Amino acid sequence: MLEAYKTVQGTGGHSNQATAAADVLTADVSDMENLTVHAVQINDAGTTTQAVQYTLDGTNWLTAGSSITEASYPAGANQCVERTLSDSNGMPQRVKQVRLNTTALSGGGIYELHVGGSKVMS
Amino acid sequence: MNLNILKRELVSRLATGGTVNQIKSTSDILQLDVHQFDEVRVHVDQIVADGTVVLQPWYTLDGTNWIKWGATIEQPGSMTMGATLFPAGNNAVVELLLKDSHGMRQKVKAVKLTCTTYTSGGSVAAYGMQVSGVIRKRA
Repeated sequence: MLEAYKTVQGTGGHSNQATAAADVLTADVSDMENLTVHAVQINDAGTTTQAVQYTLDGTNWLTAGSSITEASYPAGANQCVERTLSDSNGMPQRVKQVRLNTTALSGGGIYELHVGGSKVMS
Repeated sequence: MNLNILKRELVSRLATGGTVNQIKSTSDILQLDVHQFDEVRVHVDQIVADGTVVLQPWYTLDGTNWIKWGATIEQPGSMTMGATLFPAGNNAVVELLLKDSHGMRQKVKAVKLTCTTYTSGGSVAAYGMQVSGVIRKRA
């Protein structure tokens, strides 16, 4: 197979989960395209403010789509908010990394970052 | 010169699960692994139209966490705001294409179809899910 599906989970935070404000989960996606990013609500509790962001160089970050709050997630565990990386014409965007940047979190909510897409084969 | 000649093979699969690979009750779920597929196209099939139904397509990146894929799919005449309606009759299809709002194709691990409302008459309403996609191989 020339083009394989690949998924990666964001690392960092507390055991690769965001459980507190300032937790940042990051995934290297430099070998992937057609990126679909899921912020996942593992435990539905409390409040949070988050953003899915991406970088071309590992230093400077741009936010993809609108910010995410607890109300953005459907109620319950294992619910996702999605961001995809394409331009307004549908062109897939290749980036170095994506991250889930949690700027506020209280009340026991737990979140993860999962990214899926095509693995670019050499 | 590196000549990577691509062979594009169209594949089609029937989602499995439920009642003999069909939805015939509210607890039935049809699911299919599509991680090898590109350009995923799903046909939700109203095999036998007889009663009312509310179906919800989903997809997952990791096999654990699922996200709703579009609106619910319901019977003709349903008044649910925003629902996608089957055409009337047996063997009528609602089609879903796996792409984002800009048209970029998405790759996912699996798709599934769940049912939250099901009633049936004497003909036993039945719903299925057929998935097609492209696999790219070196020729």
